[in-house]
Amino acid sequence: MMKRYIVMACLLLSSCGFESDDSNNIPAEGLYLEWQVNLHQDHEDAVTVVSMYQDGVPALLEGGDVMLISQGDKAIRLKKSASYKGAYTAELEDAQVAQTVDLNIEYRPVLAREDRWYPAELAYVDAGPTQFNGLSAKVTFPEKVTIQSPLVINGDAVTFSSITQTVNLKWAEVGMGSDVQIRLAVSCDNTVAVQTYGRSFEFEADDGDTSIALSDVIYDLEADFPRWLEADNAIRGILQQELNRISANGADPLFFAKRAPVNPLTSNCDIELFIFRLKSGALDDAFDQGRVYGSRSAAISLQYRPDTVVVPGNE
Amino acid sequence: MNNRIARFLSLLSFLSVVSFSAFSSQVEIALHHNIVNTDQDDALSSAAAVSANFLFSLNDAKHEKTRWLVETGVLFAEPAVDEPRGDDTGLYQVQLQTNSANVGARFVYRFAHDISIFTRAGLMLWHMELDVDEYFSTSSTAQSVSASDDGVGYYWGVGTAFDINDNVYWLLQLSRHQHVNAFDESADKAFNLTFTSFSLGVNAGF
Repeated sequence: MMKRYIVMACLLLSSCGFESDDSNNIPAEGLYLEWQVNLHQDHEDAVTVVSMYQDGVPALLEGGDVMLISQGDKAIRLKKSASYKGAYTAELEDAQVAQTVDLNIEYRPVLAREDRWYPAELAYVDAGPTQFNGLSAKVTFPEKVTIQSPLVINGDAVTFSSITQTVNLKWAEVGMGSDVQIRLAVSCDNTVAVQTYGRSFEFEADDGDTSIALSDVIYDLEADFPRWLEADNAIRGILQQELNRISANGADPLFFAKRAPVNPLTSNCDIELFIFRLKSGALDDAFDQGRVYGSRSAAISLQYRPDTVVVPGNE
Repeated sequence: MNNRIARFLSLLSFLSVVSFSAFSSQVEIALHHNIVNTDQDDALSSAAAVSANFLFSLNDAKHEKTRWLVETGVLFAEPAVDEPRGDDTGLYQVQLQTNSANVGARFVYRFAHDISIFTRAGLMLWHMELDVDEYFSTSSTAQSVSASDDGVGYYWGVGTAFDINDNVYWLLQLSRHQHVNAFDESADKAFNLTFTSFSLGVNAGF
């Protein structure tokens, strides 16, 4: 279940400005759709995330238009993501890899209000469909991803101790017709605070192996953001002094250290590395641009354990 | 107000006229502070209400230790307003307003010369208005819709009465009015509406 949420988070991050080598390419004009349906290894339910943009800004459905994904006779309404503006998410139960998944925007005013506590079907404003009503797209799933290396033994994460190391990845290739994305969800803990972030790498060739330098995943906060850190330290230093003064030196000496950004280089980091195999789908002509994918993914757990974890306040 | 409650009120009026001439009678007016809840939502505002009841003593003995009375009356409540909410359609706000007519019994126990306690219970017919304001980005003003329903329910209460003189007394009361299965034509969103009510009233005998 936890991994499903991480997959969903990865999809959300992907459609909402994940730190990516393939930078956010949402066009400033026109109607743009980003949609991905992903089936993760050993899961029967597919997760899906849709983001739609009109002239570069998130296009929100309103009044009674709903996004529906359907496969066969199953249809699920996507709901607004609580975390990312403009993203809509859903889970497609018992997804069939051999069948097409359709996305449709329909005017269904009662369905759109199904989560209200009162009987909305008896009292709702019939606002009528928006300009998005009738739009559609469709995708199919690619071949599954089988990770061959690094091998995970007894479920233990593969451990690295230096950012000079490289993650050598191998997976079963399938040749042409699909793209590969590697997405990493990183959680770093310096024993006082935790920071989470993501990275993503895209490959047009599905040739079954690649290498990722750990220095592209684990960054040195002090090397990458020194000016920001200096200013922040000054403010935090003054506030810590004031706190000490008004509390007769009773303030927690780590009060602001706890709020300090975590430096991944000197922290213990857990990394979930996902390999996504993506297969492009078809967009309605009404969209000016878009990226729609059916995808399948597999994941391995990695750990970064530096020789010394630097605890803020104990440097 | 719907026909069912109108007919019920007509019957109450008839009974009141008959009873006024046949029994020792009282008129009671009370102001209520209602805490309003439904079993689907607990964010409704409280709502003030006013009630009027006619009471007919079954044993015509005003100063007996115990007394049984029959009561009939009406209660009018101001709308209870839900907090503003948002969903995939936009923003919306709901308010519920109810009126009811009741018939029941009251047992009074006088434990001091000028103080008595009582308990009451009965059935009610209610009429409910559900109003919804919806806000969309395409319009600067809310658009409103409403639906109504009527049904049955029950109530109970406990209270204390303080004699002002032989015919008039103040009363303090805690009561609960349960509006059962509102909007039950809905497939899965019918709800029970509860008033938990603190009230202050005055009762005059004839």
